Amino acid sequence: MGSLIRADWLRIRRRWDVWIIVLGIPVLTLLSYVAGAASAGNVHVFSSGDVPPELQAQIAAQEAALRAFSALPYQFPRSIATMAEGATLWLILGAAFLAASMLGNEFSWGTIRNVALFRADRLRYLGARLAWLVGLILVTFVAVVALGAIVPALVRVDPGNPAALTGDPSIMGMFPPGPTGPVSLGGALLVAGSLFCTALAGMALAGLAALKFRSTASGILVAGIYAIAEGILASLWMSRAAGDLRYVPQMGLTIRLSALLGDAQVAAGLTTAGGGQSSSPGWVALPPLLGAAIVAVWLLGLLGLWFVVLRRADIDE
Amino acid sequence: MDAAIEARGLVRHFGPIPAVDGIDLYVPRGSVYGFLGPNGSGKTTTIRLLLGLLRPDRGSISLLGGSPHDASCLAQVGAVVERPAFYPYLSAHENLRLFATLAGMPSAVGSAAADRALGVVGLTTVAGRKVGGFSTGMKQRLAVALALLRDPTLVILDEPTNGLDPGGVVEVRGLIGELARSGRTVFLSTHVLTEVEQLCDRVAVLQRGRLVAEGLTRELLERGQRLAIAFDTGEEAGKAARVLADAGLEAEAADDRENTLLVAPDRLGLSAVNRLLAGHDLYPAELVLRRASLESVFLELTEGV
Repeated sequence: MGSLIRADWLRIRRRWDVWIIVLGIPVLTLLSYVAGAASAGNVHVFSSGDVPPELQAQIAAQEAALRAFSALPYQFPRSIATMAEGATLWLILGAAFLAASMLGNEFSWGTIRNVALFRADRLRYLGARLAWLVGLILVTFVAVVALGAIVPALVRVDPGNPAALTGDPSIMGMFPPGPTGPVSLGGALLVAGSLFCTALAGMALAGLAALKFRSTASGILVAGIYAIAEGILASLWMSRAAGDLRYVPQMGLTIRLSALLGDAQVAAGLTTAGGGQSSSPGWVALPPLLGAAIVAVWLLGLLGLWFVVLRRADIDE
Repeated sequence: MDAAIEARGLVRHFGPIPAVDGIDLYVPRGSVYGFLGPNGSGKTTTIRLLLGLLRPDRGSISLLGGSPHDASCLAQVGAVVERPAFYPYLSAHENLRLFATLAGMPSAVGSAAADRALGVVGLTTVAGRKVGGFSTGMKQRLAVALALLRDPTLVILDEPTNGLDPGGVVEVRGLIGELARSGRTVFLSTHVLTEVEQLCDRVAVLQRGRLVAEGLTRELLERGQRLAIAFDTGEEAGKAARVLADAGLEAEAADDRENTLLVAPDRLGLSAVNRLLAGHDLYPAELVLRRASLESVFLELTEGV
């Protein structure tokens, strides 16, 4: 296995696309974080004409609450979750591209033939490639999380007056528009961890499609089409099914990943309701652990299929 | 003699079409074995089956006494299969070193093996250049270098001179000769019949997935040789054709010379034919054994099938 890992290092170290993804995602997320942090305290409640003194007090309280609320995502440890949330799309797409590219290119370049001639044990070869993919995604993920932990010390956002968040509800009205409780380090890491699982699922799905269709582009395309199609079909099913049949679409991969991210946010106290399909009619919330178990089954199933597909494949490149 | 390659009843379909249809192969160790056939006859599919890249629907394969799926067996095999395939963003040396690492060679050993193989195919001066910028001929040489990287006992070459300039063809041909002289077994699939005629001691001809001929190259060429019997007049030639037909020898008129008959001397030798004709007062003006080219034998074998 050591020689396979070393051979993959020789392959990967000169691939600029790989390093652009691995280093680019944390950089992009950091830029997005800094841009958000820079505008965090920029809150104004506008009023026109003569404002009565009691209303002026209410506006000032709402402004103070909003200012404190907008600064919350940039305070440690919640900054870790903020950074992770900002990296979600990039990390999923990056993981899918890495998998599709590192597996699909072997077929489009025809090098899989040489690999098969120099290493008869295809499954070990694929195991080494999987280890590299998970390692690269982990490096990106850890960089994002580490930046989330470090950046608040470098890019300081005035927390405002946190007491303003607990003002008299009769004065505050709809402000602030979300939970204001403290987020623990564990909660922030839970959100980040759910993102890592989601990225791995993106990798597994795109990697399987790339292996099956023997091309990077087909891998990404098929994985994307699958995710969209599953979402549409699940929405349709949920809106029409009754009884236990309502659970069926919630076994789907993309729906469960969306629920996993939502459940983690709820558990961390970032939101009060899960994201994604949870607002759809017919949605039945599953216990978070059961939801996570379904994701794990999907992940293991998809990765297992990688090995089945390559083991049985004719190498006619 | 011990077999380097032995295949029995090899069958492989692509959909309903049999690409390889019941092939038996026996390639003795130390031989240079020519594998001939027109485009689409199943040569590359057969090679992929032999190397374990494709799985046969039926039949068995033994490569150097083992299975093509056995790592220790494949370690003794070097192969060039169809178009060369390399990582375009890596240099020639890096590509070879990568595959040496994949084969389990320590870094220094792999690097030395890469240097040696590049030297053999004359690519030392461009070892540091990215393969993406290589010409077809350079890639083909690199593919040969990759095949030689592990100092193999058996070398399987599928059209190794494809894309090479005349100088490159001569070099690769010389290289194949050297491989043969060093005692390695060479399995050579090619369209260049003169290459086979010059290099191979055994030859197999494939047509539509089936072997239509197999044996020593010398024997195959003998099968195609003809006795050219020239007469002074057309009348004599016609009479001789009838005499030969009565003796069971089919004679045909030569395209290139008048009053000349061509006879396959399978059953009777040159002197026996001469005696037979003289017994009927027919005295040829010229009696010559025309050696066949592999090209003519190949066309004869593949056109009628």
